[in-house]
Amino acid sequence: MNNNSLIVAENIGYKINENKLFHRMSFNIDRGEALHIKGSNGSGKSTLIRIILGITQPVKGTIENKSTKEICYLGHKNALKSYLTLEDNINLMQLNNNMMLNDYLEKLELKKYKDVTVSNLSFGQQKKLALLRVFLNNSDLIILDEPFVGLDDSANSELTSFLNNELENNKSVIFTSHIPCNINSKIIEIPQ
Amino acid sequence: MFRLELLKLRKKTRSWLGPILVFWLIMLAYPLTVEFLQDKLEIGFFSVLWIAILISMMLATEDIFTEDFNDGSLEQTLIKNLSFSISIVTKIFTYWLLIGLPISILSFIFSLGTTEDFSLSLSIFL
Repeated sequence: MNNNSLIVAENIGYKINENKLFHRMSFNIDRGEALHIKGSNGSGKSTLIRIILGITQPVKGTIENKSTKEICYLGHKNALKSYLTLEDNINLMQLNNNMMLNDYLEKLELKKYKDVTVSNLSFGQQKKLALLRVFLNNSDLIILDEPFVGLDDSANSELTSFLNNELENNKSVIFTSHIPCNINSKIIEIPQ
Repeated sequence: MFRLELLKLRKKTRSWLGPILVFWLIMLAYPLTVEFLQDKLEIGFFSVLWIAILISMMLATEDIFTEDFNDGSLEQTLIKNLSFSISIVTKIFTYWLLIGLPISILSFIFSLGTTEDFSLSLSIFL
């Protein structure tokens, strides 16, 4: 552990009823560093992410978040309102005044769907819309749970280069992914 | 935050208009269906009023947080630097404004029409 650390986890453990998901897990993430959480289905990757976010409390151990800014998080659920238009959802995410919004809407090929209800967008388009939260973040810690699922090749490479760029800008990234990605990261594997 | 909650609820017409319509229909059905009280509707009025309020409130509140939980919005609210309590209070206030307040106004009108007692009707509204 050093002064540059953003997240420090010591001996954290979690169990559901009597089933241990993981135990004695320690790691730290420095600024400008990425952490790839690996594990099979049901091993507790999303639970670990929820513990890092502070939504779930570990059964044992401690976790410290030294980030002063709001965490940028995108989980399995996109946090989109399916009955609202793409534009309304952008308003809900409070991204409508962001200078880079139009650039990313164009890059992600979403601009022409501004007035379309989210329920009428494809799964991949909904994922891209949810990813605007990440692309336009103002955070020093980005946490993503399976961010590459549902993305086409161009969006995939856009996200990869964006995350690599964020790392160069001294931001930290924590992510889970079953899809191979080209992000230089530390790896922790949750045993089954 | 209030503006955003209002935007969400306003677009979910069924969620806010449904409970108001149910309340309206119960109160309209009362004088039409209780024939033996035609001249003394005020006898059973308050019982029916409270039952109608309870049913419409049950309909109004059942999905107040379910949708946000299911689509992940509640997680996003939790990790924001804003106070979680304030977010919840804002949401409840929005529901009250779009559903609770119109039902209070309707209660006042129905009460005035049935009992013809202004102060009693006003107390029902309040």
